[in-house]
Amino acid sequence: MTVRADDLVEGGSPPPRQSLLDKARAVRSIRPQALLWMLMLTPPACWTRIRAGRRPFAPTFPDRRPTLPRASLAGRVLSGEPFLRPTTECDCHAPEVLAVADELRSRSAGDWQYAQAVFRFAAGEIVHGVEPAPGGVVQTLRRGYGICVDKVNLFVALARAGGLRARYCSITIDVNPDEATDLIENGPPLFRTYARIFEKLEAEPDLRLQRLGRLAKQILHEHAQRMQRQGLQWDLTFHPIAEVEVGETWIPSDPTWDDAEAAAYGLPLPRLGYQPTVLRQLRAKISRRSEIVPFRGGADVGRFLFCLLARGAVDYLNQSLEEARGQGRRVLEEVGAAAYIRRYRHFYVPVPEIARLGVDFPRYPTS
Amino acid sequence: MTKVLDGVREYIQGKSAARPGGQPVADEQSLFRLGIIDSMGVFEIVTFLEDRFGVEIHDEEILRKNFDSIQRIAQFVSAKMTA
Repeated sequence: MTVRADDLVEGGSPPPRQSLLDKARAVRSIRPQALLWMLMLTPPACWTRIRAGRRPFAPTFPDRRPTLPRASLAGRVLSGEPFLRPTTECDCHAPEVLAVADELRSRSAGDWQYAQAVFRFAAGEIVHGVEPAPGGVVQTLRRGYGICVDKVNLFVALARAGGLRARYCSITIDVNPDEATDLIENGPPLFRTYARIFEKLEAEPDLRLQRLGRLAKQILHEHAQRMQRQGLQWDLTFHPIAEVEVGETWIPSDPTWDDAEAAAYGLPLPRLGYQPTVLRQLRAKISRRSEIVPFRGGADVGRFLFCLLARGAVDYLNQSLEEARGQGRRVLEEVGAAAYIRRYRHFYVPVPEIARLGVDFPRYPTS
Repeated sequence: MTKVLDGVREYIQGKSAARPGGQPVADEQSLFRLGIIDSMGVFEIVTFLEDRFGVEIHDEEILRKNFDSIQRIAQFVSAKMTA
């Protein structure tokens, strides 16, 4: 096993686990006013779409790949082995997924290069954006964007479609109240991303956006402070990552951010083979590994309702992420990816046992 | 020590000035509490210190106590330079 809890937890006894009551308190902290401001943004968002001749609840951006190539299944042997077979929300035998896998395989010299190509595709070709994804990985491919779990689903599907075993990992973080200073800045990278978006929202001239931003920021800060005060083990069930097996080494991977978004939010550029940001940044550990995605159902319904009822807020979120990618691209053009990586060189920790692959693996990435 | 302190101060004041409403930072003020350094910023400052002062900083030395204020950073770097 590649990642051991001992490698990632610095010592001391782990704090108690988050209880159901804690989870209920977190949900309760979402104030009705915030929901109201979100709902108020929906009619204008729908009206703008209607005037533009679009469906009132259409996604923020049109599909980036409206037509996808499909691989022929004739004569192809499809694996039914664990970690190689299709699972919930991970249809690795879909012709569209196999077509992408075939293309990436044809450009890769071996398994390690293929795993890297899959990571680059899931992280870079599918951008970070919020929409419901009832159509699974094929819809994510067609749309060209998705949230963390959509990108992880696609990463796992492409790895499996190309013959590499892949699985899902749930993450647990330890929040030590003596050490934590500000979970917004030092906590899960998603906190930082959303905190920046809420700050931007708060600075908008539209009063509704300002109020929503203020409330959202307040909720996020209160949530972080509560986590900090209580000093608990928190399950990041909403943010699974993946592991892909190359040469008997399981390599953890979080394809949520592309380079541009990482640069925009002051995060290290994600590279396969180095500990993912969410594991490295916190005293985080992989708490559970599974063949199927660790959560669905309720979360999918929640996302669907959020995108339906809070259409204007979702548009704002997606547009903010798009703007951030533009800023990040400018940062990387100005500084250069290699220099940007070098700035964070101490952050990068090669995955244990990666040397077993026998590939040239520097202490930190060079590009 | 003075040379190191000046170099660290210049770097931190630059970081602070780049923030919205950035204020001058006293040598003893907590950089984490002020939000001038966060968990990612630590890695940036480590690179700066290595490049500027020619010291080598190991992962196990990247602790809050060594980077919490201009003064602590300067003391830490000076100690490494004289070691």
